[in-house]
Amino acid sequence: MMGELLGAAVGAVVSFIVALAVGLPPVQREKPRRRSWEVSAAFPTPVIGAGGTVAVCRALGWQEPKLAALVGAVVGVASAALVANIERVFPRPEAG
Amino acid sequence: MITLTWEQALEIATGAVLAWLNFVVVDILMGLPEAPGVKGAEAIGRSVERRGGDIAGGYFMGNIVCSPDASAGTLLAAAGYWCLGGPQGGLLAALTVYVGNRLCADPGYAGTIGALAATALVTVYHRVLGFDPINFVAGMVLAITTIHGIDHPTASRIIGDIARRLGRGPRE
Repeated sequence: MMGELLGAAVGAVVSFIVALAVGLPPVQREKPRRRSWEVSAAFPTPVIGAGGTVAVCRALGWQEPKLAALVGAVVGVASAALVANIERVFPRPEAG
Repeated sequence: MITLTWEQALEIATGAVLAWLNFVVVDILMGLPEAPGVKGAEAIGRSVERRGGDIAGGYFMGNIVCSPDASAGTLLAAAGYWCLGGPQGGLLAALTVYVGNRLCADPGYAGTIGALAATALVTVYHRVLGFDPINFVAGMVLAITTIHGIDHPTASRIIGDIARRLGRGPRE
């Protein structure tokens, strides 16, 4: 269990850092933020990074901390890439 | 025959209170009583209002029905915690709630934040209080029943009153 949590933490941190590196803002710039469709490094990137890491670790049966951290690093990068292109996967209602 | 001990009843009641506070506060702060997100939520809100309820509480109920909100996040996070045996279940639940939100034309703040907050609450409930996480799931079912399963007009007036006190009354 601790391996998965470590992996999820790595996934969240890596996804946040990579999201900043690919040009996403740290937080939503539109106000009020609770109605903004803009994505940022803070939301939803770490949620996808952490949750995705848990899902992959469960699917592969990798509970060992080093393996889970490796999964977290890979899923973190993939999560940032997904969020940077999220409009293509989940278009906002007026665009869809 | 189903038996219920006093200890289980106490754990379920504690879970119900924590879950109710979690999803009501998160949903209100994220603006569910302010406006309907989709036409179905508006129809539910107007229906509750016609039956003597409050429009803010009606929008709250309509938005809960039409997209995964903090109540769905609370229930799924608690169930995920129990199924996976720890907070990682809540993290996985938050991801599924976010995907569900995007599929329901919702930006996803209420559901996702509700799931993450519930994960923290269930962790305290299990690890600090020593309660069984499955009793939190049972408590959450009771908590959402107080909103959607007993009396819609009364529940909507309570929600509307709390929403106005927190500065999240209807925008129109």
